[in-house]
Amino acid sequence: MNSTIAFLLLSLCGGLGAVCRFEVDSVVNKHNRLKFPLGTIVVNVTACFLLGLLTGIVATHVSPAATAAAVKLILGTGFLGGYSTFSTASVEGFRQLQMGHYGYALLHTGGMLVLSLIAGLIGVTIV
Amino acid sequence: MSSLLPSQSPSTGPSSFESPSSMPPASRHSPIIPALCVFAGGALGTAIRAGFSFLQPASVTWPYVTFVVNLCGAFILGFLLEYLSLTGKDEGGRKLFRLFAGTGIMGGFTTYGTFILEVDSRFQAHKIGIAVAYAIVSVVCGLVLAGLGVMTANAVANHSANKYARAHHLPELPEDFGTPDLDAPDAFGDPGHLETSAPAPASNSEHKKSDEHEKGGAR
Repeated sequence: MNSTIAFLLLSLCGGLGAVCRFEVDSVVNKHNRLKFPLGTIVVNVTACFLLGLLTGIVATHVSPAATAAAVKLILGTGFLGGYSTFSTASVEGFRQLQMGHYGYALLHTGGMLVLSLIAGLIGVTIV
Repeated sequence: MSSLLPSQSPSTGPSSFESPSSMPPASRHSPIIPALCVFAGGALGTAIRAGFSFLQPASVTWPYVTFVVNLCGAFILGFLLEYLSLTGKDEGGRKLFRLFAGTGIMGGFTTYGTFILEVDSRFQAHKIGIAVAYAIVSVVCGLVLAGLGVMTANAVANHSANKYARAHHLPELPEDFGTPDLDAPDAFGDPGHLETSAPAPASNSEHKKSDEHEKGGAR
């Protein structure tokens, strides 16, 4: 694929991913009864599962290598990269620390990290 | 753009602006404008990150590009959200700017998925030390950088406020010290002007009403 077109698709997919994150985050936090934000955790854990799945599928089921690389770039770096977010996760975690909710901060940051690592591993290995 | 709001035909538009409560919330403030801001910012942020990601070799021990991108994003988002919250209300053009630059650009610029898969692949390659160190150092530094961003915004806003107070010979911090900045984000779009071609005079009261109906969790 033409690399300019691939880059354009990657960017547009990133925009779509960001909108999905915005919508999922809004819906989750609207129904969230817990005392700390859950939307970003749901977004990032699902993103890691899907990226693991994509990595596994691309590595085993997609050929030639150039096609696999393009798919990984557009859907992985683009869509799922735009969907997941590190910055919001960090700011939300800091807000919990700032309010003195050290337990919630640990639960938010550590819980997101562990769940995401597991979700990513499951995604990679089930394919 | 008026086609996005089918219920607001030109003939009913002006009269419904005079009695906004008679209209259903969805047609008074379309959710498409905030989503478009997130989309545009997300596409831009993703493009910038992708550009940087080509600098990182696939076999790198410590994924320094992802690391630096995520920490920069954490600092900038912390700064941006704190500065915006200190200098005015989260409504109208300011809210759209937050969605464009914060949720969009910084959300798209940083990535959790790539970070986690980088950790997982190091686990799978039995590089346990690197995997644990990369994971822990990333999230801890993320919290620290987000905090530094928030503190920097506080310092900058205080500095601006004091400068404003001195320039106007005010004895204390003026309550509305952020006022000079309030108009700037309007360049990113006044929802009323973007959505319809309805007359401007009604737009002030229209915005106040319509913001109350916006998604509570929108960030």
